[in-house]
Amino acid sequence: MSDRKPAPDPLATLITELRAPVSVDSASKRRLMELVRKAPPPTSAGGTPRLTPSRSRALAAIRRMRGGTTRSASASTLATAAGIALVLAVGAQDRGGPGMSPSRRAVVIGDSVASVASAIRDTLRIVQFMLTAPAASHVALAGDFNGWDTRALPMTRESRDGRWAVTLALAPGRHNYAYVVDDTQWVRDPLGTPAEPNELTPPRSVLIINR
Amino acid sequence: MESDAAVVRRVLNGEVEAFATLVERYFDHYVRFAIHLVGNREDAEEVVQDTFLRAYRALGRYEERERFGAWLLRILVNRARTVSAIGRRREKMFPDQVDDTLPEAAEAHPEERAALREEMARALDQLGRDQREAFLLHYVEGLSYEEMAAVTGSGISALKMRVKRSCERLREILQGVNRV
Repeated sequence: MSDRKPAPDPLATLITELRAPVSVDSASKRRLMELVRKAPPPTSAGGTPRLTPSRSRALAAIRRMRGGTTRSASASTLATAAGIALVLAVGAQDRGGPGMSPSRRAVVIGDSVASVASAIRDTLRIVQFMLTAPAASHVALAGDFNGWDTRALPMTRESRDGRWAVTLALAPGRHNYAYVVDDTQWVRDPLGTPAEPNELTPPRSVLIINR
Repeated sequence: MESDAAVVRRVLNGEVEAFATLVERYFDHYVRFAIHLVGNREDAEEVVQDTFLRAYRALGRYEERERFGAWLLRILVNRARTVSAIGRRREKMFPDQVDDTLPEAAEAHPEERAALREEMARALDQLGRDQREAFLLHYVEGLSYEEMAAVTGSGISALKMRVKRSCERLREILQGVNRV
């Protein structure tokens, strides 16, 4: 009987080596803290914006539209409103993206229904967001209008060619948004206006709704 | 132990010195990660320092639902990509990584150990940036694919493929080395 040990898996050895701690001179950390003390204090500016009163009212109206009634009833109301007018189309610049076709867009398709409009001072606009992602099993819309919640606005697959859509009411103004594919992949709207790049946030687009 | 989120809140409330707690928790660990990512210690420390400074300035954007370490790692990966993109050198992958932290077996054959490290460094260096990044995040940092997706901005299936291919490639390279 041989007492030779089997050769270790080179990959396992590599991983063990890579996990070994590294010693860092504490002076590096002291220097860093000196720079931190000199830096301007952190602020929440540029992060998820606080809701303005008008946007709060708009969100409340959206919640009223989405809640208290069935989804299909709500969609039906929106579809009626959607037929009114095409108010604004977001730019058609195609920036491409991995595994996605470029036919993604957010389009403001009409004025809000009267019951909602009368509930708030600002007129809401009905906006339809669309994304073609045939390979996706789930797509959602997230934006500053819903606190970047990746689950609050799931999109519905509308066609065999993989077009996903969701319609909602938004107040006039500037809205940052992105699509979330399969819960993890953040996708900027390539047909929309890209938001200012920020390495701290996922890719985003900007939708500006005129009054 | 005070949570990272609680420390962040203290910093945001004006306790700048509380930031040192986060530095203490993550600095060394992320220097190690950055060394493997950018390939040399000098750039790695610069990248990590820059990462912490950017994180401090942007602390108000940190959302507690995300693990602070993962948020920090996202900034770090982006900084490392920038450094790699401007073509800095990859030098010592295991600098000052210290024999007194390694298993006893290493002590008997320091030259062999050094040679092994060199081979491993070369193997890792042969991976493309994306594969190396995915391999390190998954196997060395222990991130889930969901966390990796948040850190890298890539899809889960793409990341799984990168990890799989990086393993295959590394095994191929390292076994080739061992046969010589």
